[in-house]
Amino acid sequence: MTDLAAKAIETFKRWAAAFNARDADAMVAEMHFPHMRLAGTEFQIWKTSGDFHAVQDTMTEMLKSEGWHITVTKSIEAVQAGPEKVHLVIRQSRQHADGTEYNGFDTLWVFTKIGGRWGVQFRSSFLANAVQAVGAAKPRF
Amino acid sequence: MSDPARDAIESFERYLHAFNERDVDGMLAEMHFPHMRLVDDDFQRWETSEGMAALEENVTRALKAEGWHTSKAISIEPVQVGPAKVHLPIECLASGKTGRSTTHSTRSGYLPELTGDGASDSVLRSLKTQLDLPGLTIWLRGEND
Repeated sequence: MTDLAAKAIETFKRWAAAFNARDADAMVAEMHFPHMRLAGTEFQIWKTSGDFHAVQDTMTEMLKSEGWHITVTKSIEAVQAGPEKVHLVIRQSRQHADGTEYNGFDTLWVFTKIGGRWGVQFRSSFLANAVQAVGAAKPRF
Repeated sequence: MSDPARDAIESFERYLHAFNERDVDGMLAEMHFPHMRLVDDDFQRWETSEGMAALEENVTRALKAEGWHTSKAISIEPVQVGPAKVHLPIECLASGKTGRSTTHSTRSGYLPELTGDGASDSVLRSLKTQLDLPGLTIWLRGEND
């Protein structure tokens, strides 16, 4: 389990660094699509990498408008791991430039190994009252 | 005073009891729809409860074929808890009639949501299941990415 979890944790750390750098290409490189998120109790989806990529500049502006400077990962724990899927329990902290936290939240990330590459495919977040899920669609079938 | 983690665990335990009884109505009473599942790396979704009865008939046949008798939760741990959502990693052990583990253990992340006065499983049971079932939609990566 440790080795499997380590791959997913490394993937998450690369994604988090890309998020803080507002580097859409690097974020997409650590994701799988369709990409699903359960925000509160509502499903959101980015069906393609293009859907996610296209809105990141807007997301950056919205983050700036709420005073965001960086998101710090306070804890990561692998709670379930298999050869092709890992569940990571994560605590995140959105902070201002002076290092004060203005929004801390729990989130569960599910990483899958597809085509030999680990990427996040599903998230369930407790983030509230903050910029999130820009460009996500409500799933339709 | 409400305790979301306790409510979610109790909801799961009622679901598991219904699963072992092969009681579809009992299982549906503990679920929310749309209901999502990530099986391997494919999303599956049921828009409504319609089709679940037929699905569970197939599940019952498959379980009998593998010698299943009962499933038991050997660990349940609420790892993240909010007033309307709980993350529950669960490890289950499936056993045959003799009580020996004849099939496999499975690890699943259940995400019960709390709506109204109770908790229900809404998302992400990572167990393997049959495909091409009534009411089931599967997103294929090749069609979307």
